Amino acid sequence: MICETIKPHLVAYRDGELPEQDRARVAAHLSTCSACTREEEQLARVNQMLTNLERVTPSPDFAATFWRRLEQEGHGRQEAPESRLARWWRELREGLIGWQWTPALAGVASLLIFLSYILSSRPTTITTPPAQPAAQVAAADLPAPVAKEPGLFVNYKVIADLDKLSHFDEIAAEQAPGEHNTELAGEENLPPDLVKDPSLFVHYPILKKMKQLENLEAVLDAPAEGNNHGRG
Amino acid sequence: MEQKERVTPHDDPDVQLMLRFQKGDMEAFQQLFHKFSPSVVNFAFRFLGTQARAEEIAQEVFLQVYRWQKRYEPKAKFSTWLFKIAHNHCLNEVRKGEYRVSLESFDPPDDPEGDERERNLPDTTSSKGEDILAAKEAADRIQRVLHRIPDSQRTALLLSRMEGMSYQEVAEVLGSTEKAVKSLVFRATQSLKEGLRDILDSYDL
Repeated sequence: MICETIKPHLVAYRDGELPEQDRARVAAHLSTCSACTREEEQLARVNQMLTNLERVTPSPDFAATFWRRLEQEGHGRQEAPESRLARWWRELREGLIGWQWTPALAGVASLLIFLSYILSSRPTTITTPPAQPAAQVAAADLPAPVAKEPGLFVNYKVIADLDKLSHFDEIAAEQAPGEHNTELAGEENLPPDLVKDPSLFVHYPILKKMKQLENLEAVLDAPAEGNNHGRG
Repeated sequence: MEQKERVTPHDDPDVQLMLRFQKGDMEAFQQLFHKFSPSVVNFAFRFLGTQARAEEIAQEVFLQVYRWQKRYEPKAKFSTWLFKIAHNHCLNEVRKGEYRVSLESFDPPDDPEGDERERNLPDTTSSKGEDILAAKEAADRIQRVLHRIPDSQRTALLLSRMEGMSYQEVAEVLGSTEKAVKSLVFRATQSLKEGLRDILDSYDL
């Protein structure tokens, strides 16, 4: 019976891969059991035959073929070492796979949620209905969302001009140079560049709106009189 | 029996070569190729059974080492990492299904001197000639048994016997445990013993 429990350890015993306690147990059994000793000798002989098996040597053109394949794959024989930035990016990507980044990711996610809350609460401040002339509102061909939400009026004019900007080339082509010249020249103090080059008059109203757009943040952040008192 | 010594990755000179290659030292890669490519060819040949395919696999293994140089981390001995790649390539090759080695049509190692050797067949009347024939017979039997046993047993046996790897290193190659490797090696050796029974019995006469 003990032979059956010893046999599975015989190869590991010969290989020196048994813990000391098991090794001593097998050695003690082998000293008294001729059958297991014979089995162990046969297994050792098998291992010896395998170890002594003739090793295959690569064919003479093996190495040359390999270097040719390496060249063909577009790899230079000398490749520049990985730059610090590339290594940092690779380690970051590899690190993200691991769990050690979980707390940092949780922090970033929390920050994003907080920022989205702040941004979502912002329109209540900036969408206060402005004191627009009723005639101007009525004259505009308002889209349904704007008509439903009066708070969007403050942005509507700017948005409409943005839409014009997207069709800038078409509008410019339709309007003959000088069409608005007299009107604008009579109303405003024009920049010297426009006076020198009358063809710029075509673009001037839109350029003016663009200037307004640059100040959009300041316009939107300006408190609408009499409408902000409700907010903390 | 002597206990096997365990080596930490940074004590391994081949790991140092790989780290040098990682920093752009192409000569270090060439050294690794010249040192290990014959072993990888031999392993692939014993695993697959044809030398031409074994050489292609070995080249693919080293191309992969080249491509993966940046992501290499010395977590184990270099040879462990290398044979893990080689083992995976051999498994993929076997699993393709297109490629099956018939036991009857086993392709012996390419040997430029083979034809010459065949013309000078050993004189079987001499004891030396008998020994050569017996060794060839044993080698053919071993190869046939190797192709009959499961892939994991074959890898465990080849790496521990022909590459001298410890059970721990074989376990790292196979992604297994030392206990499992011990069992794989034992069962593979038992299969070989059965396949070589009459040859082994003749030793006892």
